[in-house]
Amino acid sequence: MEVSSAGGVATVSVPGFAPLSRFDADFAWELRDTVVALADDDLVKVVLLRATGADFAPWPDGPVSAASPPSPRWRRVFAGANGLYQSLCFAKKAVVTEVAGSCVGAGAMLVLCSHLTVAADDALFGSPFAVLPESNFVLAALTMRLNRAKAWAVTDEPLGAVRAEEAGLVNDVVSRAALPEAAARLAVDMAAMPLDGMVMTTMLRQAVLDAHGVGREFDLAPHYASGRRAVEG
Amino acid sequence: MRPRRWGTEASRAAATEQVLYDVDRGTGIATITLNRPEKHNALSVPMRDRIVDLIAEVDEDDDVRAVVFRGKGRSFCSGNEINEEWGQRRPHERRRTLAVGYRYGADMAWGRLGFSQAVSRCAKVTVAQVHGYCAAAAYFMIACKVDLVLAAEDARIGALEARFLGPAGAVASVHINRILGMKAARRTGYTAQPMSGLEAQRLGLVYACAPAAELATLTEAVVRRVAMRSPAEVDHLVARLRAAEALMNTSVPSITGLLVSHFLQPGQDEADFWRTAKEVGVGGALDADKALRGAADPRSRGVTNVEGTS
Repeated sequence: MEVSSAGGVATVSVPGFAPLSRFDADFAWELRDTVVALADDDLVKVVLLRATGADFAPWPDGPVSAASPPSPRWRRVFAGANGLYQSLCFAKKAVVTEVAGSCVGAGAMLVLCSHLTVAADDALFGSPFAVLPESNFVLAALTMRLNRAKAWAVTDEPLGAVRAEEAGLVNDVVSRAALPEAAARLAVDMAAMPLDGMVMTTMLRQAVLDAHGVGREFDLAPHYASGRRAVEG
Repeated sequence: MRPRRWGTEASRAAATEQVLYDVDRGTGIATITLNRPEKHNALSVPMRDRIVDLIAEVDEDDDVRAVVFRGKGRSFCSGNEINEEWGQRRPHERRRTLAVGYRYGADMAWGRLGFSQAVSRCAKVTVAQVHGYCAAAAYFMIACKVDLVLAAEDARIGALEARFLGPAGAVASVHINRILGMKAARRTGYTAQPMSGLEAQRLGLVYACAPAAELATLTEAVVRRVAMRSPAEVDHLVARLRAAEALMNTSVPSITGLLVSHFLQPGQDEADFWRTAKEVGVGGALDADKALRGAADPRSRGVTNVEGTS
């Protein structure tokens, strides 16, 4: 995991975010700590999450980690109030995701938790709700509207970049070659905002999300984990 | 003792044929077909009661993975039957009492035992196949409650009854605001303008559209794809969605139209509308209204222009 910072934008680069879909707790906690630390840094206003590999978050090849649901480690790292996703969703600074290629499972959750998303035209977004108990359907319903989120979940049909943009999941779609520059430009534009304005906005946003059930949906993750366990037999 | 079944003897008997039920055990797809085409499939109280019973049957049937609502004839459904006698008024009463008004409330809004919430709480994947009119209760109690809506491109979907009853519950209902976005939800409620299937797709209500002649094929293809998923996975997924919808408070709709019509004196427009509806059903009355000067879709007077309407 590499972190670079300039002009109020901190870029977190990893080969890909697939390890999160196999519940790699060390990777998740390092990412969580990095985002929290950057959000505490007054020189940082925007955190940009970037995958340097071909895909943002494909389904992982490796075995599922021991930190899988419903283990206590999973509860703390993935589902807990101080875990990865809530740390992103309720971060004090804005988070931007830069997505190319396959974006499934945890990748889709990173997109839902981030404030803004720029996607390459080859990006493909898969619903995380059947597989990841820590995924947050309320966030999807608020982001894409209720019926689009339901259709995404129920049909299991991945959304291409253009459809994701139409649905409201993605802010901009550009060519793959133009993606890093487009995401960086967006982050720089956001970083031009006053620091206190940025923090105040994200704080107010937290209250709005919670009022609409986002926090309570996160709290149900252990309940969903039990359901998922029954599916897996 | 057994719970009272509302409706007349005739309407209760008719409901069995007016709401048909079929299960394809091979595919795991159940179908609820509204079969009252002469009234644009307007739902009587016994029809709604039958649907509640059928949804309970669907919930209990391990073979069923998805249930499709569809309608025979020119329309999917034009809403609730508003001219029936179902036991709501005793001879000495000039008006319906609040106690029997609660029967409507139980179906429409707050009642966990009623029709609307039976649809929204179904334990299987729910699908609506919408063509022609999908108006009033059919819009906000079925189309906006199911998980997937497949629509004919030229379907007319919306709170069309608001033209006569005042701004509809569509304005206030959390679920419709979450589905369409707040501005579009308000437009449907405050103007009674229908959405075409294509517009409803753009706004997020409809998952996919097809020409009316191809709608059944589209629906079958989509539902089969859903039903082919692992049953346990679909059960888990639906349970997740229902829990999240509960958190979002999207399961309880707000309704004004029928309550207004029951407790306030009607205006002339409304009286004309009900008279026509009594003869040819709500869908027919909507058609007749379009022909009246001053009572047509506002867009036909050049207020705005939305695809699918003239």
